[in-house]
Amino acid sequence: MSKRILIINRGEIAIRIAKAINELGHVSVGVWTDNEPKAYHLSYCKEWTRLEGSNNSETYLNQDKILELAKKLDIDAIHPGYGFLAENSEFVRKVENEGIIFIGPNAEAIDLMGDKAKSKKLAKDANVPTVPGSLGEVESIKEAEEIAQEIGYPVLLKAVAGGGGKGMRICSNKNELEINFPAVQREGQSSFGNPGLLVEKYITNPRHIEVQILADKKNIFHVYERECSVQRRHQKIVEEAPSPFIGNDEKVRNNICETGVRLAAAVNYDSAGTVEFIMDEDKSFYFLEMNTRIQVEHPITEETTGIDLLANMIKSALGERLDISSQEEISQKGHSIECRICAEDPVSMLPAPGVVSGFDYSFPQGIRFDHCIYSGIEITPDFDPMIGKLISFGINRDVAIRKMRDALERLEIVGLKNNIELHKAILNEEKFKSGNYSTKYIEEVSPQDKIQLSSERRDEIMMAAILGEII
Amino acid sequence: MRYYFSGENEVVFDIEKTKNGYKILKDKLEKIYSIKEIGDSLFFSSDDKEWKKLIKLKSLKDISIASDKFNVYKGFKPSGVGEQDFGSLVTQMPGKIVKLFCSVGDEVKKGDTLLILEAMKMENEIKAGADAVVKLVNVEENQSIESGHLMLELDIKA
Repeated sequence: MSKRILIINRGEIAIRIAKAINELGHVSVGVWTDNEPKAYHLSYCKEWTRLEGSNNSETYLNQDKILELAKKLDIDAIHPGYGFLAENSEFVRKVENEGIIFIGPNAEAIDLMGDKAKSKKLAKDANVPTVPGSLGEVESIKEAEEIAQEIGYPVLLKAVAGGGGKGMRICSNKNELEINFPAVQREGQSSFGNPGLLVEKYITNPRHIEVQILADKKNIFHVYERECSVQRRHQKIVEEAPSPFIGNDEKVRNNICETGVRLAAAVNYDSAGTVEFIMDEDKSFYFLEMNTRIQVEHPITEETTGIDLLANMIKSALGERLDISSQEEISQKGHSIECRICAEDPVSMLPAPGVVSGFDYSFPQGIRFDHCIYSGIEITPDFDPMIGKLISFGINRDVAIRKMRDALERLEIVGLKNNIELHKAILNEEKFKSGNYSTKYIEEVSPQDKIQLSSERRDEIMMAAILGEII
Repeated sequence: MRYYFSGENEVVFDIEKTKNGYKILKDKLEKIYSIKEIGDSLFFSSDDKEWKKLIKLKSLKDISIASDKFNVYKGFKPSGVGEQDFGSLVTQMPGKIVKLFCSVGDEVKKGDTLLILEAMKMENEIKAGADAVVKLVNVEENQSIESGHLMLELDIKA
């Protein structure tokens, strides 16, 4: 039976959700806010309605207003997308209390995975490896040394309350540990009012590898892994599936994927979600966190497995049968890469809002572009600078790279500052092409320094812009 | 028509309509572009061999090239004197006509002030870039105009 599904999100993900809802024969209901009355996602929704207000706390984060709207519109289910209320268990409970279906995991699973200490303990109990280190606060230098001896140097001293790179020091030997221990204590006290610290194994060149989970009330499947090691400010900008670092090592692949399923099972996971790991040089891996939502980079998994994650996430929540009924039906084929197209300076990588005055593309075979751009749209500082995701699929990694390089050449966004040139630099860079790169890639390789445009090319761009306007 | 791309450096282009397309001049670099329409798309070429799709722009107020951002001004720069080499005087900034010094049929000399436009809280003297005859006056004193408004047209003397 056709359901009325409210999308409380915007941008490219709202479009992706609306497409899945429409395809399944349900009614997609989109919202617009006062600072985005002409949002592109509306054009994909069957019904549109106003969510009054212009800042996010009045709109996409306003639980009561959303619930009121849902009741008024006779909504059967709510899809939160990512960000905003996607991982807010309080909201999930409120939605369910109204007899509305939340398209996402159960509130309990969100609670358990949202708490770092709880999720780490849960992982340990489920026999999922976590980064080796102290179980709780370390009281003395002597205790820290004993732990470091056991897990091996280098170790990371971490202020319990720290964050954003503050209150963290790497120690490669006993001597450094003795010097840094009191320093981190002082930093913790002065920055966070808490001198407590933890000792953890320091992973020198970590790879960020994550396992896609798809589950309903009965089954938990993995939909293989993705590698997302190209990051800036701890945010991913290029992702690929399968992981080039795991490569042909099927033993490691099976192991990490099954570990992901084990963890999801430990919280009775019942939706689409992602278990994130970091992988060391020797391919040992450790649980980082679980994202209890659909992720930005889900398309590369869809491309390599053929499984529509959004449609299945909706079916799971509505209690319908998934498109697959066993793990054996799921296989990974070819290679897919995603480049996040952001309204930001390609060199400083800082957000740069503005107006898109011209927009055009003509892609080769194998390209998918999930985006929310049109000519004339204003990208405001109210939301995340990500405006689109360029996704390539090829029979192998080299082909996926080739297709992506061509697609980047043929994607034109005029007026608005964007990071297309940065992606071109990355896709042409040797270390990226080799597939052997860590989360320090941007920091170490600095591909932004390789962005080069000749003065002739600059003149041509300007002349083309003049012609583009007067004609 | 003159375009100023004003960023860290300033680049100036002059564009002129020709019989089959457009001529764009930058310093000594001159390119003549032909335009061709196929379906809904427009293409341009400077050698009639290699054609590139033209991205139709809603407006050209600013443009980013990699990390560099340029403000684009048409006809004149709001910060100073805009010397006109070509006939059409179009304002890029919304503004107000403070004074009008010419009327249709007037002969003007290069450097003559034609009108004063107040835009961005600054008065801009719009001057004739060449000896010419005023062909059209499309503004009056105290009139507020939007960006893109054609203010004057001159017949440039050969």
